[in-house]
Amino acid sequence: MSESKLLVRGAGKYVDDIKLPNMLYMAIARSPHARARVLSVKGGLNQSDLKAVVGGGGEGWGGPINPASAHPVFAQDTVNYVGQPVAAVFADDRYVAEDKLDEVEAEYEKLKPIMTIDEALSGSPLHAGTKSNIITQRWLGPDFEDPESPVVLEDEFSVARIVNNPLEPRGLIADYDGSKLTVYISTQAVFGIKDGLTSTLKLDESKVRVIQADTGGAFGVKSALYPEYVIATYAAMKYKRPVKWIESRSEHLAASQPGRGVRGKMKLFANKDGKVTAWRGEVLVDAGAFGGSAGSMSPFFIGMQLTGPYGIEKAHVLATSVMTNKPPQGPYRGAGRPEAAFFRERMMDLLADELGMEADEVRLINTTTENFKSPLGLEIEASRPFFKQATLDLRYREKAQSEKAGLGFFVLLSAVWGGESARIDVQEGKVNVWLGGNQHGQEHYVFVKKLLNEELGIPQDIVTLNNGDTGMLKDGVGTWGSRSAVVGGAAIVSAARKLKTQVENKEGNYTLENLLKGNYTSEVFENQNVQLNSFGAVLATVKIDKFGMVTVKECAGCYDVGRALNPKMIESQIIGGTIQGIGQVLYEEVVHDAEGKLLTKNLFDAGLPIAENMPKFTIQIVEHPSKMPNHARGLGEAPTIGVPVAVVRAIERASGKRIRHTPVKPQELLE
Amino acid sequence: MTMRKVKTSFKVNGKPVELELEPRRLLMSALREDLGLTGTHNACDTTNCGACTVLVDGKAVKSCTMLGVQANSKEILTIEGLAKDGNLHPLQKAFIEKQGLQCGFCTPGMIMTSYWMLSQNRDFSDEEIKRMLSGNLCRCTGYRGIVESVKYSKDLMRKKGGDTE
Amino acid sequence: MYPRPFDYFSPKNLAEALELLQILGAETKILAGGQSLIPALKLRALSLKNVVDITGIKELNYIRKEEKMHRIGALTTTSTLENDPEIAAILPILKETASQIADPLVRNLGTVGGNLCHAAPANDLPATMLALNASFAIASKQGTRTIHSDSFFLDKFKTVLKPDEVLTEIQILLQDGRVGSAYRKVRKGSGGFAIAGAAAHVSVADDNTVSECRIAMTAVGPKPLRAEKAEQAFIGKTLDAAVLDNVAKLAVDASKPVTDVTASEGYRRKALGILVKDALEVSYKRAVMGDYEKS
Repeated sequence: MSESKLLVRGAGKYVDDIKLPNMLYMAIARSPHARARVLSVKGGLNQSDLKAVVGGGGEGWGGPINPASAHPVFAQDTVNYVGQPVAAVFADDRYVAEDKLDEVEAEYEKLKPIMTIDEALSGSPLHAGTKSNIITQRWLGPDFEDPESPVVLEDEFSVARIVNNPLEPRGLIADYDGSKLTVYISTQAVFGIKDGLTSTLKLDESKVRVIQADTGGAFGVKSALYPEYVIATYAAMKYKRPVKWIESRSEHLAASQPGRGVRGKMKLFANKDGKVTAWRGEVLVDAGAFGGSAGSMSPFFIGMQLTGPYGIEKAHVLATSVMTNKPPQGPYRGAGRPEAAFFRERMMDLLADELGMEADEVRLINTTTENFKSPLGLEIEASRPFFKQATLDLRYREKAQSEKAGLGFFVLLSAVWGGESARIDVQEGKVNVWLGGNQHGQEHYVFVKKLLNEELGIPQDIVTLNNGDTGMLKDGVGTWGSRSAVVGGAAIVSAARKLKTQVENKEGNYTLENLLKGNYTSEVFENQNVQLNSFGAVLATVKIDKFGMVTVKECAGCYDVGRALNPKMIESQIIGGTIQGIGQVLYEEVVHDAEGKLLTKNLFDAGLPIAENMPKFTIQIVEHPSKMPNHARGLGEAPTIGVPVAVVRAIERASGKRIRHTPVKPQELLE
Repeated sequence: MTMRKVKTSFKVNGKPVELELEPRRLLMSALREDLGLTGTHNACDTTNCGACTVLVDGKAVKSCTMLGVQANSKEILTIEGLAKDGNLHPLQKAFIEKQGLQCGFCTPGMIMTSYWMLSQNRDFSDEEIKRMLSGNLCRCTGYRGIVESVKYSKDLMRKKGGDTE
Repeated sequence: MYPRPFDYFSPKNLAEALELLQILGAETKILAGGQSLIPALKLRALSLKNVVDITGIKELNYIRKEEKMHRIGALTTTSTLENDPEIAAILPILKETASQIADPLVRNLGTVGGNLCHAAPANDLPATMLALNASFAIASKQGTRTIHSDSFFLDKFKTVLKPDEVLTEIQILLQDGRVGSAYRKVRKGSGGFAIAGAAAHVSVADDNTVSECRIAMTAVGPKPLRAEKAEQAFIGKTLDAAVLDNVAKLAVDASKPVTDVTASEGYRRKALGILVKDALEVSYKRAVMGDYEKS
C-alpha cells in the first residue's frame, strides 16, 4: 500500500488507476427481481457460457456448501436477490460497456420473495433440493436445568443489515497472456482470491498470481470471492484481453455482501445481587440467498461470544443462519462481535434496571478474577482489574449521574486463527517485505518497520512493505478480524529472527552491516492456535432534541491493545470505528420493500455519517502485553463493538424508552 | 450511438490542454482517463461522497457532476497541482502529520475542499470546518484527523508567512 | 453510472438559447448548475437527445436590490445567494434556505433557477419563494411573462414551464413596515433531502398583531404547499403558544406527507408542526426586533 506521503499527492495506485494495453471494461446485467424464474437470457456472456458456482463448491465458511443452495456465478434457473449477476458485456470504453447493457434481454417469471427471518423459517425452501431455509444450525454450550432464580429476564433484539461502504468500491483487472493469469485487485486477501478463482474455474494454481492494488478501505467486504471476479477472469481468459471491472456505488449498495442483519433472543437467570448464573440464547442471522458466505458461520461466532467478559457458568445457545432473497451476508467490521455485545449488554442493562443497581455495579459483580473459559468456548483473562480501572478512568459514576451516560464492556476476539505469513528480502542494501495480510489504510508498514528496527536494527527508511502478492509468498491469510498487528506482527518477528540466524550462520555474528552487505531471504508462515482476546469499555452521552434527533455528545473509551505499535494509527482507528458505531445506532441500515426492491439506494439512504456527527472523543490506551512475541492484541474492531452498546444505553436513559434494535429512528423517540 | 465530440480547451494545474470530448463524458473521466490524473477519485454515483472534488475557477466542485465540455475556458486545479517542485503543500504535510488519512481514497477530495476553505482567507471554527466538509465522506478516519489537519495547515501556513497559492 | 449519449449546445446569450430550445424540440433540457440534471442522467433515470448549457449566459447571474424589489438572476448559484451580505441583512430567510441545500460543493454549482425548475418535492427554495410572495420572469422566443410562485409549481418535478421557456429572474417585493421571514427544516443527521420544511413570512402591525401571514411547506406533498387556513388563524393574533399550536395544527392538516425510506408520514407531520411554529416565531421576532437571529 502506498504510504501516506504518496496518497496525499493523489499518487496511490488503486485498481481503477491501472490501465493495461488493449483492456476491456466489463459491465454486469443484474436481476431486477428479488426472486424469479429465469425464462431466458440473451446477450452478453451468461450461464450458457459459464455454469459454475462461486468458490467451486466444497467448503464454505460454515462447512460444506449444499450444491442446491450454492451461489451461481451467472444466474441459472432462478434469480434470488435484486442485483444478482445475470450476464456480462464488454467494451473498450466504460461508457460504452454500460450502453451495451441495453443489449441484454432477460425474461423472468416473478416469484414471491422471502424477505424476513420469520418468512424464511415458516416459508417453503427458496431452493429446489433443500429441505428448509436453514443454512446452518448448531447448539453451543451444554444444556442445563433452569436454576432456581429470583430474577429471570427475557428480551429480543435486532441489528439491521449494514452495507460496508468503503470509499473505494470493489474492482479488479484480470490479465491472461495465454498461459499465466495475473489479477490486480482491491482486496483484503490475495490468497483467498487466488484459491477461490482457482477452485471455481479449475485453474492450474501455479499459473495464477493475484496482486493487491492499493486498496481504499474494505471493512470486511473485500475478503470474499464474488461472481463478478470470476466472470472478469473467465472473460479475460476467453477474450485474451485484460478485463477491468469497477463497481458503481449503486452496485455496492445492492449486490456486495452487507454485514449485521441479526436477531437475538436472550434469557438470563440471576441472583438478587446481580450475579448471572445462567444464560440461554437464540441467534438468528439473515444470511441472504445462498449458502457458503460468512453469514453461514456468523451465528456460531456470535453465539460463542455471548458471555463476553463475564464469568457466566452455564450457557446454552441455538445459533442459526437462514436464507432470504437478499445478497449473501458477509463480515462488516466487528463481524458478529458487535451483535454479541449488543445482545448481552442490553440484557445487563435490563438486569441493572430490574434490580435498581448501577450499570457498572451489575457488570462488576459478573467480571472474573481469574482466567475463565465460558461454556460457549470463549476464553478470557481476568476481567475485573480492567473493568474496575476503566470505570474509574472513564469517570462513569460521575457521568452516569450528571449526564445519564451509557456504558458498554466487551471482549475483542482477534481472528488470529490461520496465523500469517511474512517474507523479508535483503538485497543491495534495501529491505523488501511482503505480508500475507493486505493493509488497506492500517499503515502496517509502520509496525513492520518498527519491529524490524527492534529485532535487527534496520533503519526504517530502507524498508518497503509491498502490497500483497501471491507471487512473492507461498501462502497467507488476510487482513480482517483485528488480527494483523498480532499475527502479521508475530510473523514479521519470526521472519526477522530467522534472518538473524542466517546472517549468524554465514558471517559468524549478526550486525546490521553484515545483513545489508549480503543477499538474504526469509519466509515464515505460522499458525496461531490460541485465543487472543482483549478488553474494552466505552462510555457515551447523548442529547435528544425536540425532533427526536440524537446527537452523541461524548464517546470515551478504554482499549487494551497489548502493545501500542502505532499509537497515532490506533487513535485514528478508534475514532473511525466510533463513527461507524454511531452510524450503526443512528443512521445505517439496508431496507427492502415487501417485493424485495432495495429502497436504500444512495449514500444518504445508506446513512454514512458525516463530519458533523462527530462526538467529543476521549481515548485511553491500555497496554497489558499479550503472549505474542510482539506483545500486541487486536484493536481494529473494538470501537464498533463497544460504541453501539454505550450509545444505545445513553439514548435509553435520555429518552426513557427501552431500545432493542439499531438503528434507532427519531420517530421512535417521539412516540 | 455517440454524439459529435466537442473541442474543449482549458487549463489544468496551470497547463493548457485541449481535448475532443463526447458531451456525456464527465469532467472526472476527462481528468482521470484522458489526462491521466488519477488522483481524483470516483467513489459514488449519486453526487454524495466528494471523492472527486477539484477546483474549477477557484471553487471546489464535484467533478463527477460536471460535464467535461463545461470545463471550456476554465482553470482547474486537481490534487496533483498542489505540490510545488516536489514540495508538499502545507495541507498535504498537515494531513500526514495529523492522521488525516488511512486508506487515502477520500483524501484528494478532502484536501481540495480544504484548500478551497483556506483560500477564503478567513478563520473557520471547528463547527464551520465540519459543515464545509459535509459534502466529503470518509469511512476510515472518523473525520477528527481531517479537521485537525485543516486547522494545523493554517498554523503551518502562518509560520511560513505563506498563502494557499 | 454514466449518462447515455446526447448532443451539447452552449449558447452565448439568452436569444440564442431560446432559439435553440425552439428548434431542438423534444428530449431537450436546459443545463444550469447540473446538480440535479447530471445525477439523473448518470443513473439513466433520464435520457436526452440534447442538452442546452446556459451557464455561459453571464447576464442571468446577478443579485440586484432595487427600492421596492430584490431581483435575483436565475443563474445565481445557491452559494452566491448564501454568502451575499445584503441578502443576509434584508432577507435572511434566503440565506438560511440556501445554506441548507445539499452541501457546499453542490452549492458552488447549483443555481437558484435550477432548484426551482427541477421542483423536486423536497427542494428548499420553492417553499421559501411561496412564503416571500415571489414572482418569476419566464422568457421564450415569444417574449417574457411573469408568473406568481403560487402558480408556478404543478406537481413533483413539474412546473408551468414549457419546453422552449427559460426561467430568467426571481422577483421579491420588499415590503414596508415590520416584516420578518424564516425557513426551518429537518433532515437525517447524516445528511440528505428535507424530511419536512416550513417557510414563513409575517407582517406585524403597530399593535403587535399579525397583519399578514404566509406559510409554505416542503417535502410534505408532491409540490410546495401553502397553508391558507393556518395563515388566517394567525392574522390579528400575537405570538402566543396556544395560537402557534393551533396555527401549526392547521398547517399540518393542509399537508400531504408520505412514508418513505427516510421517514414515516406520521413523523413528517410531527416534525412539520414543530417547524411551522419555529418558522413563525422567528419570523415574528425578526419583524419586531429587526436583527433577530440574523446569523
